[in-house]
Amino acid sequence: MNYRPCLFILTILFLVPISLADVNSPAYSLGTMQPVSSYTAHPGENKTVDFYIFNAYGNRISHIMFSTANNPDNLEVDLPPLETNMWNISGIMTPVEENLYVEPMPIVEEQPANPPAGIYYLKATNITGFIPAKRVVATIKIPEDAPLGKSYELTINALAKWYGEAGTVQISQARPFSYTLLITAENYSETLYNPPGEEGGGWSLGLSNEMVFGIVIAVLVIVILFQQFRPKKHR
Amino acid sequence: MKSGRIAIGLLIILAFAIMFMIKTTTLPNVYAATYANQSTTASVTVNGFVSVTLQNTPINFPALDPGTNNTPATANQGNPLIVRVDNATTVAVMGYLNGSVFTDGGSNSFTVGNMTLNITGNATILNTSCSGSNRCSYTLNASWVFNETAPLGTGHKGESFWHYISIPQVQAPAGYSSNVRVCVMQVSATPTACS
Repeated sequence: MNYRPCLFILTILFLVPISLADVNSPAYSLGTMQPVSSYTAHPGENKTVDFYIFNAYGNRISHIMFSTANNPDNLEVDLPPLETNMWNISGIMTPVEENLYVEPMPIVEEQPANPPAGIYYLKATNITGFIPAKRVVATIKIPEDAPLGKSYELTINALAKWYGEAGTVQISQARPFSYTLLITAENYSETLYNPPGEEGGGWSLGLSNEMVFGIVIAVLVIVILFQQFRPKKHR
Repeated sequence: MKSGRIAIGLLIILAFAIMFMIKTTTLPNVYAATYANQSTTASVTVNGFVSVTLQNTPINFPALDPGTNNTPATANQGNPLIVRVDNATTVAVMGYLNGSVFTDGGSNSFTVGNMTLNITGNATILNTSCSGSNRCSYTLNASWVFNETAPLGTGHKGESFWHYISIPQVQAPAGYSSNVRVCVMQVSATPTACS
C-alpha cells in the first residue's frame, strides 16, 4: 500500500495550524538606522540630526516616545512633539502618548513610483529590496558661548511600546542614538601662532632676538667707553 | 689713538650686526621643486541598521502561592521570550535588560529580582551568569546579557529568554505586574546609552 499521499495530507494538516499560529503570534519589532553620529557645529547653531525608524518584521504598530539622555551639558533638543492620539485597539478606545507611531511595513522589492507621504526607502546590505521607514529629525541648539574645540556628547532614546498585551510583565524596547558634536568656528581662518620663546628656533633663552641684540650692543658700548675713559697708568 | 679705538669698536659692533642679520634672515628658495605631494581625504558613511523583534510576549506566570520558588513562565508567554536580531542588522549590537518593581497598582509590591532568566541561543557572546545552567536575576538598572556581531547574513539570530519567578514567603494576594525593557544598541554607542 502506498502511504505517501496520506503522509503528504497529514503533513499539510500539521503545517496549516503552525503557520496560522505564526501569523497570529504578535511580533513586536523596532528597526532603526542612524546615518551619522558625529557632527561639527558652531556656537549658536541649531544643528539638525536625523535617524530612521522602521517596522519591517513586526505585525503590531510600534508606539514610540523620544527622550534625551546622557546630556551632561544640558543641550536643548527639539524632538517631534509629544501627542496624545486616540487609538481603537480591538474595539477599545485607548489614548496613547507618543512622539511617533510606525505601522508594520514589510520590505518591498522596488521603490514605489509615488511613495506615501513621509515614507523613505532604505537599502540595507543584508537584504534584497528596500525597507520603508519614517524619518525623525531632531534639532540640537548649540549655546552661543560654546567653546571652540569642545565635544558635546548626547544620546536620544527611542522607547517603543505595543498595545494589546495583557499579562504579568509588559515588554518595551529601547534604542539609543549617540551623538558627538565638535564645536568649530563658523568661518575658517588660519594664522601661525607659536608660544613666546620658540620663535626663530635657535635662541631659546626666553629673550627675543631684538633684546639679545640690544644687550650685545650695550655691552660693547660699555667696553669701548671703559677703554676710552679708564685712568692711564703713570710710569 | 682715541678715534682709532672708537673706529675699531664701531667696526666690531657693525660686524655683530651683520652676523645677526645673516643668522635671522630667511633666504628664499631659488631652486625649482622637481615634484609635489598633495593630499586630500575621501570619506563615506556606512549606515548602521539595527532591527530587533520580540515574540512570545507578554511574560505570564500562573497563579502561585506565597513562598513558591522558581516557577517557569507559561509556555509561549515568556517561556521563552524570543529576542530576535533581524537580518537587516548591519552593525554589532549589545543587548541589555531591566525591569520595574512588581506592583499590584497599590501599596503591595515585591522586587523584580524575584524574576530570573536563563538564556539560550546563538549570540556571539552570552552573559555566562545567565546562560548554561546559570540564571541571573532581573535588576532595576540595565544589565548586559548578549552581544551579536554583524553582518548576520541571510538569516535572523534569535535568543530564547526563559523566565522564572519566586514569590516571597509573605506576600499579599493580588495581581502583580512589572515592565521589562529590552534595550539593544550599537556596540559603538555611548557605553551608558542603555542605562
